[in-house]
Amino acid sequence: MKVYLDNAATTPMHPLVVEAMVPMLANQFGNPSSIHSFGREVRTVIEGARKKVAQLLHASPSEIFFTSGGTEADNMVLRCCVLDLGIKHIITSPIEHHAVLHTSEDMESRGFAKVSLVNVDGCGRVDMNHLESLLMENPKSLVSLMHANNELGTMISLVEVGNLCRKYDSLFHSDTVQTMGHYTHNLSELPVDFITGAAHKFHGPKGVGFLYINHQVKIKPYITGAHKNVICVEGLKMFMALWV
Amino acid sequence: MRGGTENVYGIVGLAKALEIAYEHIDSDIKEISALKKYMAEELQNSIPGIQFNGETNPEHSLYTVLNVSFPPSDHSEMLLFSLDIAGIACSAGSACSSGSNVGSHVLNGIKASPDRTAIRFSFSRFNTKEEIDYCVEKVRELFLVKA
Repeated sequence: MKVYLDNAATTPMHPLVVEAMVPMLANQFGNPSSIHSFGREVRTVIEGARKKVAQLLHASPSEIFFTSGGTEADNMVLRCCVLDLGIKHIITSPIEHHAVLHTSEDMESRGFAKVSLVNVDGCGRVDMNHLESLLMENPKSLVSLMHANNELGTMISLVEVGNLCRKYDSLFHSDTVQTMGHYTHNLSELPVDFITGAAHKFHGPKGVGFLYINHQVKIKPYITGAHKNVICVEGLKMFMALWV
Repeated sequence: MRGGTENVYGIVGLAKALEIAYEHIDSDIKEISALKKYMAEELQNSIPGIQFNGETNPEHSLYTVLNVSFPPSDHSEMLLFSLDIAGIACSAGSACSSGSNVGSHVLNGIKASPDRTAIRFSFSRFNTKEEIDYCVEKVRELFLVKA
């Protein structure tokens, strides 16, 4: 008998997910940034996927950014907050995922930001009083605390931590990789600025994830290169549609 | 916002997977939580001195993760390996004694005892009660028969 009890590491793909992916692998090869019909078809599929994710999370499509996974999304938040938004202080915990811990350490070692670790108890619960005192001493921080710890399963209250961050004018990032697809996240109500997801933790494929960025927060591209301007391409598509 | 040609099929798969997850979320929470509770109880009934790492209040604990702390014993270090031989995949973590660079930073962060062995079992909608029974039986064999 073979038994797989390591679903926090990764999950098997759902057969319907495989089914949905096959036509994209087999037929629709167009570059989504191309403005001809091959590209436009694929662009439509991507924007449909973005809309679907946004809808499920009660967010706006313009707040959803696809990444290579949770690690890239976490890196993007921390590095962009420091480099673009002038964050000088990161508050995280000693039991965060290395994507957050090592990125915070990197920002600190380069002299870009100071890092404080909030105390956790023997069960991995965040000491909320300590968090408040850290925020009091360092307003305008970035707080990065995972929704559920990947090793222990211990969870934080996104509402409680988020409200505390708002009170001290700080940004709140939660690595929600372990809870995405396992709990409902209503982003129209949650006081969070950034949350992350990795498809392979909820029976999707590896190598793809996403980052939600609250529309009030503006950061610059983290991976630079040719990137499309959705509005421009969409406008062009409508224009082209008149011709074909 | 992010340069580079999109991972088209990955993005399609992600959206589909999230859609399916949301369709079944209430029943999944119920069923997987029950599996976790069942495994915790069965292990507790089988192995003296067993404990659990992390939050134990189910309201504040991820229903897909059960981190089991096994009491010190001669073969507990071989537990993960032995389970793997028996066809059971799970993850190990350990707290390290000071100075050592190995071990789980999470278990060190909560000051877990380095003498105990931690094994993380994590579940999905595809797991069954029969699989849990098989796993608990194997753990019991490894732990009690060889002890």
